Amino acid sequence: MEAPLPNLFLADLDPSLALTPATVREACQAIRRNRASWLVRLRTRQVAEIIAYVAEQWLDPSNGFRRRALSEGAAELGMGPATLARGLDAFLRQLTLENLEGLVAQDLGDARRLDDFSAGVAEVRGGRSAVARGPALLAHVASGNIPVPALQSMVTGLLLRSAQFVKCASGRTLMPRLFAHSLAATEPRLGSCLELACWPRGSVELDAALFEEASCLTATGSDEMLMDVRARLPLRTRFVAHGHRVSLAYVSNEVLSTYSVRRVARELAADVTAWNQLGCLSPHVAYVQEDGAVSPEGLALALAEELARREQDEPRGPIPPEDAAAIAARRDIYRLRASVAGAAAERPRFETAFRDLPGGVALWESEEGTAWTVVLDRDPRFEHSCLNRFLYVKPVRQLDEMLRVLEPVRGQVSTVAVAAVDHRATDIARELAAWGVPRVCPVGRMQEPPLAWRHDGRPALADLVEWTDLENA
Amino acid sequence: MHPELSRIAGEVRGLIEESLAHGIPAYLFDDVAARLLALQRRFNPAFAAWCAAARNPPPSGAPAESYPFVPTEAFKHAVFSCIPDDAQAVEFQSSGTTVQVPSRHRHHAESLALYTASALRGFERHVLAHCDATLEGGGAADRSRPRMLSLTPSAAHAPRSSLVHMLDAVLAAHGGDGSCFLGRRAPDGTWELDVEAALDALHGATASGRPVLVLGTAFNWVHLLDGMEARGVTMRLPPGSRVMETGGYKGRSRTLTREALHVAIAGRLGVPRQAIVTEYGMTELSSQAYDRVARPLDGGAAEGGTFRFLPWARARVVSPETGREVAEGETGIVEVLDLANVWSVAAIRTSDLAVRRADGFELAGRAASAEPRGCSRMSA
Repeated sequence: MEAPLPNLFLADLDPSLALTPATVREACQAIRRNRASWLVRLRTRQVAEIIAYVAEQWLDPSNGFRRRALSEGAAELGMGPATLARGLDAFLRQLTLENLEGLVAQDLGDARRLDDFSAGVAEVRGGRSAVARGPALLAHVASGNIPVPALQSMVTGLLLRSAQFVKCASGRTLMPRLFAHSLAATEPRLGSCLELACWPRGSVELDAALFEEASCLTATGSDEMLMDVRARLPLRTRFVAHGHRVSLAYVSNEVLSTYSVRRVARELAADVTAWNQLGCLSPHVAYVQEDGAVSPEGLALALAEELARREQDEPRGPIPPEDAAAIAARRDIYRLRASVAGAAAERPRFETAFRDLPGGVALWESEEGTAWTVVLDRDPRFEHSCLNRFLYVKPVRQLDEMLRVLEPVRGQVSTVAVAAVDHRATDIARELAAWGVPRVCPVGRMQEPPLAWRHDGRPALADLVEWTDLENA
Repeated sequence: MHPELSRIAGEVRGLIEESLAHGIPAYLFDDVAARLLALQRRFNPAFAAWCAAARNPPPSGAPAESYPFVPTEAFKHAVFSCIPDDAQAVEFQSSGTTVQVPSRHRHHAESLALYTASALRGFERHVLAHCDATLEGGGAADRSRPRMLSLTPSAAHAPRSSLVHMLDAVLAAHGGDGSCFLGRRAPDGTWELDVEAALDALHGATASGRPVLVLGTAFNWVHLLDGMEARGVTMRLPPGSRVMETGGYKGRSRTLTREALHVAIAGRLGVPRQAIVTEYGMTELSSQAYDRVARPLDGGAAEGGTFRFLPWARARVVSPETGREVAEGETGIVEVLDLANVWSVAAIRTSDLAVRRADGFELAGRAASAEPRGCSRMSA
């Protein structure tokens, strides 16, 4: 056990000390002052250099913050250190100077948009230019299932030179704190523009103090929580909400050859094990086209083998009993469906005993415990997985059929991973785009979105900034 | 039908009667349980298939604990019964929400008789204990027959409820004058409380000065408490009065913690906390667990909240990861070996999470929705 982090942020304090609305307000005012006196004058390049430097430090295996994140974070998040390291590194590797400036250029039209008046081609023609600025105080209500979204929000806010207040999820403060401490260790003045805190859900007075002070609020969580937050926000506080999303994979028949099925299974296993499947970008279901050389059962079996192999290198780790119980209970139901249904015909006097059990189910599971599960279910309707490495494989005749059965979750889909040969992949992506899927990626990369990806189909920076337009004389 | 099962039912019946005085030695329990499960595997086709599908199917002559326990969820999708379709039987159904498929538990006359005996003995021992000493006045025959008010509908209105069947048997066997059912079934099948009738009955009981027993599900109780609050009614039930509450809200009322519910009941009805007994039962079982013995008068600090079954049913808390019993103080899933489940399955895995305590378990919530969508449609 290493020494506790120094008390830099409210979240570093003994959690039993109750915060007051006045403390929250004062903290907001302090970071806003510090931002006005220093951070706001930095240029994009300077901020990006600090972020890229900190990320590089974190990628060094001997880095203290990293070591601490992997040792203590594994327990807090309920996942193995190898799983945690893979997820964190995928994110950290994105934080290069080039990518950070690229994000500004992509979202705001030019890498210098936040520094001074600049103009794109159309603006030049119109004799105009414009400068963008971030919110004076950007607040984040973070969710706790996986740590990356909160870190990503902090990076976004830094690029915008906003003072930032992160309200961490209960029991999930470690990662945002370590990241903030590493920023402060690199540049203390940056640390003085950040605040992190944690308070129990339902502390409406504390929420109100933060909502009152924030110029813009981002929140990630359940739809119910977001509705509640929105109802309590002052009119002038801009709100960017990221609600419940589900993701899935589509495997096209031409990659279902005996040659490539192993690779597809390996990539899918990477998606299922990334962050133990707990993020919005993790797959619930893999839809598999039926008429490939290898059947959906063949893919499910290969996937089971890959998940077993992954468990050796990158074990899932212990999870709370209620989550394990959910997996055990669900396995029971599928075991029942897989086995009992077949016995019906032999027992004429017990016909009703089995009447409600459709077959068409097969189950693969870890030899010990609830480490991983693959369920093949011929009922194509979308099913929410109970997660922690539990994947449905559902056969479909073609893409159309999948889109039809996805109708109940239209508007809630985040990512569809596609396994297809190149010329088909673009056609499939076109259909998915027309249907409203915000992100399409190859299998194996679902939990590794690029820094500049558009979360829920929205630009990361452009939704947060305000502009000043300058019309030339 | 299956004389072997009838014989073992006779044995269990004997154990139930004898165990109240002496308990059941573990070797005897184990012997009966193993023989019972072996018979059920022969005569209950769904259980036979379930055993065959187990990761490690139990060999013949296996001890009871090595059988795959049947999840209560499975009772929604298959009839786990040794009683064939064409036999004279009733099917109790769980009272889930309307969108859920109910669990079904088939009973014929013999099976029902055993269930009734098991339920009555458990109730007598926990809710009616020391009744003689607490009841005063009335004739000798009436001394041990307190008035009982059930907040549920009657058996005529809820013929498929195993809880109501039990309460019906309790009222018939032990209910004094004026005992009645105060609930009714709404057109959509949900249970309502006739609040006016309940208040009349409670006032009547209070005026009589004789102890009364009030019985209901958690949501029945919330309906009563809300009704009393709306009317500004608070009362003091006569000394010696008792309350039985049985878990479960099922979306029928606001949800309170057990603690908050008991505080509210104690406050509104003027009964001490140690007179409030919580029962833990379910359609899939024929025996119930209780968290305490009612002690309405002696004021002892009987700690509630830890459930224990009667000697003819045994609960254990198992890890969902390993399937083995957890250590004391750890959380897992409640599994019950219920010898009174003779014509269905004696080995039941519930959906309840609990913390293992010395000789019982403390409920810790339900396992997250075990119900995948593909299943809820099946019997729609």
